[in-house]
Amino acid sequence: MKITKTILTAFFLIAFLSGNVQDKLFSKAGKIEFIAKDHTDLEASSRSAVVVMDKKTGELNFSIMVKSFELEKAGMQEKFNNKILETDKFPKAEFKGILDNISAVNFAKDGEYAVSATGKLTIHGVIKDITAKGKVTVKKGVVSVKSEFTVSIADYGISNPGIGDGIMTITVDCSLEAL
Amino acid sequence: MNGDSSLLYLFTFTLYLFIALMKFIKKKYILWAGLAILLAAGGYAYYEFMRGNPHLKNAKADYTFEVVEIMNVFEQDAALANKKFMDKIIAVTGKVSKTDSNGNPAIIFMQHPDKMSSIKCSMDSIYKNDYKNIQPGTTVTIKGICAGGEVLDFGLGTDVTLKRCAVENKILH
Repeated sequence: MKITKTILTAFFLIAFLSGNVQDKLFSKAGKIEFIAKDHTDLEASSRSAVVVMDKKTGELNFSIMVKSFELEKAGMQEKFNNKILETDKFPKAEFKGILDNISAVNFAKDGEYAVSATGKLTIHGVIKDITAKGKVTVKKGVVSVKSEFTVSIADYGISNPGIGDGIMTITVDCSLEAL
Repeated sequence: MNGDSSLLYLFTFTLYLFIALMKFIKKKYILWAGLAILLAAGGYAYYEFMRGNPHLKNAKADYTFEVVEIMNVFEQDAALANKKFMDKIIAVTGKVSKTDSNGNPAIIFMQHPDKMSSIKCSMDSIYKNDYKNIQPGTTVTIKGICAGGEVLDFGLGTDVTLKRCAVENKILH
């Protein structure tokens, strides 16, 4: 009896855990861009973001090492690292939140689904609540996430006057696979 | 207005100012010296603005590792490893587990044989011919600038990112 109980408990535990894992999608090569259009045309891009999305709960997490951003010119790269995002002091940027309308996404059917995400965005060591619109695309079983939103750099304690009108556009683009 | 034209406008404006001043100032050599300084400063500013990022094919690596070695180092103490290796040129040898050329830059993954941990190599597109035919299973040495490593949540292991990467050599199996 005791053995049966143990086996049943183990079975349910494995079923529960594997069910959770199957609901998760991830990418280790998510693309994130920071763009500030002005006379300096700051365009920083990285394909090293780690993205995890839970299909069931809508939980969405992004994290990226800020030093992984690449800029075209060396001078601008140094300015980005040393003066704008101070990457030695604040090496990581991340978003932890939830897709508000995950139930609108049919992962079994190809299509583009409008979504919005709400959560906490950490840049330059400052955490702020944000809501961003985006879309989830399902195509032949591959799920991808895209979003573009803007933030005020002053909100994140970035006071460098070299960034145009103080607005930075952030774009996110990634294809996810099952965890 | 972009940065190039801003510099050009500033330089042209200053040049006109000097020419105008030359009409009024008797000691012309002062102006010529000033003009020479302006040209040198303008040239330096333009060089600095246009300076590209380094390409690493012929650069000497600061550190060399096997895939598992570098992962162990970051797994043990990521903060300490970041302090030591950040911005250094690191050459890593290991088996390619996955290539992702769907975006720019292309990413080559070298994965730990037993874990989800991986080295992510963000490739320098100038060397595309060197890496475009690399397939999973190929053993390669890739060197790049260390952009940091972190222990990830959700059982995703430990990732180390190298950027502006170049293939040093490859062995086909």
